[in-house]
Amino acid sequence: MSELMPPVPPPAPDADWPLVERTIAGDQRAYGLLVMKYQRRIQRLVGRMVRDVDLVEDITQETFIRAYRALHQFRGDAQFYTWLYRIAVNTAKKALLELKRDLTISESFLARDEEDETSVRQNEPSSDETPETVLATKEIAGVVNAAMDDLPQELRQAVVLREIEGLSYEEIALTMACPIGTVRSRIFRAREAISAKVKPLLDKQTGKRW
Amino acid sequence: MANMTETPSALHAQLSALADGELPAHEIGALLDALEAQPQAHQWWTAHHATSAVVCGEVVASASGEVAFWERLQGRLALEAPASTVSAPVVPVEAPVAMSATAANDPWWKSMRLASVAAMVSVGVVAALVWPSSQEAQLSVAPVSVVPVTAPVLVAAGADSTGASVMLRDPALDALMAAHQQMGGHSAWQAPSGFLRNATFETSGR
Repeated sequence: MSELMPPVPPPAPDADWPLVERTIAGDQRAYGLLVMKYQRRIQRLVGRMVRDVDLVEDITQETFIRAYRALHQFRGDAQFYTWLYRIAVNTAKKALLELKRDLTISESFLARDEEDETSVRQNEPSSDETPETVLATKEIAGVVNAAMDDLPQELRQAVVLREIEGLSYEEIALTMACPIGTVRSRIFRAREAISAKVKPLLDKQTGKRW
Repeated sequence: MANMTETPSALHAQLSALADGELPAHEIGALLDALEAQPQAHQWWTAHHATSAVVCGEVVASASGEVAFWERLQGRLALEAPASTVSAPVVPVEAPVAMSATAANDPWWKSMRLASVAAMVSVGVVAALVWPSSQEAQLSVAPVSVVPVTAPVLVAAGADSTGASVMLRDPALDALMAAHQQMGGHSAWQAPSGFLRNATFETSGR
């Protein structure tokens, strides 16, 4: 009977785990990289639940503070972002409940406060999804695709296997029959080439150089 | 490998591997040190994730605010205890530790044994004399309702019913204090300052 059971795929390794471990060990700089990685996504998630721009910033900050306090409880059973997502939703819901008690909040605002992650309006654009940003994102996506098409075959294959297929370096090395160090180098070179073409667009969009 | 982090390109290569969770743990420390020396490399990190987000179909409204956000957040995190210290096991004190005030081999017990025997004998004599007359008196008075007396429950200072505040105990210090009784002539529990030095209060606001 057991031989009929399909093999259970191993859980996908969490790329954030080394930084989480480092943070738990007391290195706050590692947490900084996690914050910089997920700040935009969390802010976007909160922006779907709360429309007050200032409040979105506050709740996003509070989310990362709470996550930092509770990080020692994170055992890696789920992806770090999944865990962070739950904290963000709970923090936003708590903030909305507190706002509900505040008599100065308008009725229209109160009408939105029953949302949770199951009722988030996925198809409705959030506050940062203006027509301009949607257009710019499409433009960036076009440039990324064109940049990937321009890559040498081995670089394109490596970055596609990583970014699109989500394979580990070891799996990519087996697939491409090359050492892991070569995989690492190819993925990096591909990213550098793509980044060089996307960078001007992001500069134009944000109005800042990075 | 540490030398690799001296050039921006090498630093970016390490960040690329770190973004995929493929950077060996022993290289992460050197990378974080190098990032402190070259903070502009943080922009590569945020730009890489912005590009990945676009590849995944997300809308990228901004790719420059992450570093500034982290700088603002750092101010608040500076007030927080390190994540590693929060993970220390917290042992809430539920009741006073049942620790004898004096050691079992203390000479004080010898005199106490004699005193207790004398007290028991005297109580027995008094009871034999008084008991018959008290039995008569009991028959003449109305029955008295018996109120059960519960032993007072001592609550550890700082601990409330909501668990918002718990007392942290240091097992090593407890063991030291217990051992100290073998050497000293008085109970460690009779010294309130010694007890207070042994207590740390964790509040929810920290």
